[in-house]
Amino acid sequence: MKEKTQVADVDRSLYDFRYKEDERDRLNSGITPEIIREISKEKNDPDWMLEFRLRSLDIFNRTEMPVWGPSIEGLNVDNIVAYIRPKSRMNSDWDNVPDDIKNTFERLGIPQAERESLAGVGAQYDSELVYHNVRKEVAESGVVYTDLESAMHDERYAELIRSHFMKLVPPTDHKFAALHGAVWSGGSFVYVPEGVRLEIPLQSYFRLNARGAGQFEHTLIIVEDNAYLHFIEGCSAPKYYEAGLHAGCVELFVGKNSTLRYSTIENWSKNMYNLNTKRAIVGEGSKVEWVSGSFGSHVSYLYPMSILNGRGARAEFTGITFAGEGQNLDTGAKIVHNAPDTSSYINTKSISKSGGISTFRSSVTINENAVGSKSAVSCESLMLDNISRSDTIPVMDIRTDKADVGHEARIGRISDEAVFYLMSRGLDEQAAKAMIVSGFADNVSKELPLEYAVEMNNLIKLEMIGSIG
Amino acid sequence: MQTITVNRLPVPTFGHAGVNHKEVTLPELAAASPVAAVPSGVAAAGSEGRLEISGDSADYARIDQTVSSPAVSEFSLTVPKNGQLNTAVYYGGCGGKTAVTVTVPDHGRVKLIEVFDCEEGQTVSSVNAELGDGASFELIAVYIGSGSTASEVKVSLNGRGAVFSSAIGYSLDNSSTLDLALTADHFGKKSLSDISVRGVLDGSSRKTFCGTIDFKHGSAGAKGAESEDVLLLDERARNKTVPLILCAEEDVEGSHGASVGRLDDEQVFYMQSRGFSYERVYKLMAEAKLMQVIGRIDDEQTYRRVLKRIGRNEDE
Repeated sequence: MKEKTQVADVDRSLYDFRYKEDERDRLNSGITPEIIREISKEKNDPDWMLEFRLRSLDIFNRTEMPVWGPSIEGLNVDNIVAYIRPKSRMNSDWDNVPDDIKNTFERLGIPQAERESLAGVGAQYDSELVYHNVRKEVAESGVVYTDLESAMHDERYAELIRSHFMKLVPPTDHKFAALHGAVWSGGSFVYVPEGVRLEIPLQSYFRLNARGAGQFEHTLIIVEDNAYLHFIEGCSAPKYYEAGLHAGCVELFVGKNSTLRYSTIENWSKNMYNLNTKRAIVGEGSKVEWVSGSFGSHVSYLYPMSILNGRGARAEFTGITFAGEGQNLDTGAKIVHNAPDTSSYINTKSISKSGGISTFRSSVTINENAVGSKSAVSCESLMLDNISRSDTIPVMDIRTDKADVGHEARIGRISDEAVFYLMSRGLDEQAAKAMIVSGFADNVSKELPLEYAVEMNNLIKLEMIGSIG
Repeated sequence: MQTITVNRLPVPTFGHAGVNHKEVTLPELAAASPVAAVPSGVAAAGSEGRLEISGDSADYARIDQTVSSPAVSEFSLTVPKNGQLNTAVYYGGCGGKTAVTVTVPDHGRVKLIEVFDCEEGQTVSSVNAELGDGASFELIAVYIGSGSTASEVKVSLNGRGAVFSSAIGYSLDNSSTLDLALTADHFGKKSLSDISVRGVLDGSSRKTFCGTIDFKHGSAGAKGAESEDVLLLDERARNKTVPLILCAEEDVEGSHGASVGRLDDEQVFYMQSRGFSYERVYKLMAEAKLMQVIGRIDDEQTYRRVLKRIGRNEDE
């Protein structure tokens, strides 16, 4: 007979702390033309952006909620505060950031990471970026890394922003893309010029401190030909009883013969609805690499999409999802092969425990013109108990005879033999299972820079506490 | 004319994928008068398009539903506990709507062979099976017609140790279409399912296969596997594959594998080095793919009829 062990609940104090907000900083909740105009005024938008916001609001009001995926009935957009006024303007000097915000990011280890291993850092607190800095030598190479609003008001980049902003993810894409178009605020703009290879990563960290609020940052990255960029995105929030909403948007434009790696460790608090949209368009001979760890949120809809638009373009998606108590995480990837000789590889792992629901959802489309293309999809799911749920929902749409598509999926539990072996080597049952789950997640952790891999493994260990029973 | 919705995906997904359900339009349908030949120990009864087949025999009951105008029919297959019932149904002519209900009590065994060979029009078919403890149901379905077919198979593995296995083969060309949805619901502990689909798409044919293995809460020890292998022979052909594994139980094993597209280059090169032309290699491999399923038809009469229909010599 199996022995059951009960262990205390997870200690999430690393992420679950908050500072008092000033009520005067909050706009009224709800999404109305008046709110949109107020946000636009606060941000001193150019005219085209105000028009874009109002048009997006109209689309939002006319678009139905998704009829598939996890329930989002607990989310009332009318109760969400779309914009929180910043306590300070954007700084490039860490010492000038207000103390409570500074303490928040210090506790999350962001300045330390910048000093040790990053080429530049952006930190967003609620609706606006409060800190942005890039190493001198990186800036001198022509790399632009700044907040999107500053870039939009800078005549050197204004036209670039206007010609790229929400062109990959139009507001008509789905209801929450339209919402994003209406209320977006904050986020980063990165421009890597032709021939520049940025060997150390840039990172943006998004922190939502306010209760009942939404975060709608927009990340726009343009990588020109023969260039390389690794961009890291991190996010967290303290837990409140009110639902929070994250409806960010990431648009990646990759030129010819370039590589863009986009890594995310998502650890929103478990009252958050994470309805994020990420999309890349990849040129001839280029590659986009997504590395994604989803640990937080109450509900997630997250399927980074790669449009392989140039001959020989490639996409790789490596992801792990860990759904615990009260979580319904619907994650995966979409690939569109839209040019000859393109290739894609999706490799995901998901873990469900304590009643958590994890769904892998994917879509691979090979268009008529994508002759000679190849795609492989591999997903593995691990069930840690019999009160959880794990679903795998892939779609493959093949429109040419000159393509090769492979798919494999497996679902199961931790092997008793593996646990027994580790216990025979002196580990207790919980440590044995945690080690096996860490190994299961190895495909993602080995793709991350060391310090982020350590953070991810710590998250897994945190989540695994109490998993035996 | 009537429009009906069939093949609903058990869990809907992206709307743009166009796989959440299928709408089909059917003309006015008359009750079919299928011709049934049953072996000793098996009874066939019914009227007005309904046929109930029951009994216990290792020999095949055969139903020929070749219709000259679109027709509707319902069949029910019932076997006693520990009994065995084998049935082969041949659908030909103008299509229509057909439904087969299969009830397999404890330790019973049912084998159903369905051949869809409708020349034109829309065919809508369904198979619903309920399996008790230790019961087994084997389905062999072959799609070789030139019309449009929407088939839905739903098997409930209710009993402990219930077993469902299926082999599905298709060869589509011109503008024929096949929408196939197959669901194995595992309720019983240690129940087993094995879904195997092999097919060839030529011309501007279209095929969608949605295969679902659903491990329900309480189905501890269950195992399910599905595999699909699709060969595309024409740049106009279009394939959609949607393999779902749904899981609400820890102690289960589910797997899926799919391969869609061309033949392996090395395989083609080897065959060419043996003197076969490129076109001949593809033709042979397409036949071989379909024969993997046809070869499982152990009813001699149906087997010969299918071989003749696809223009293949029995000695080949």
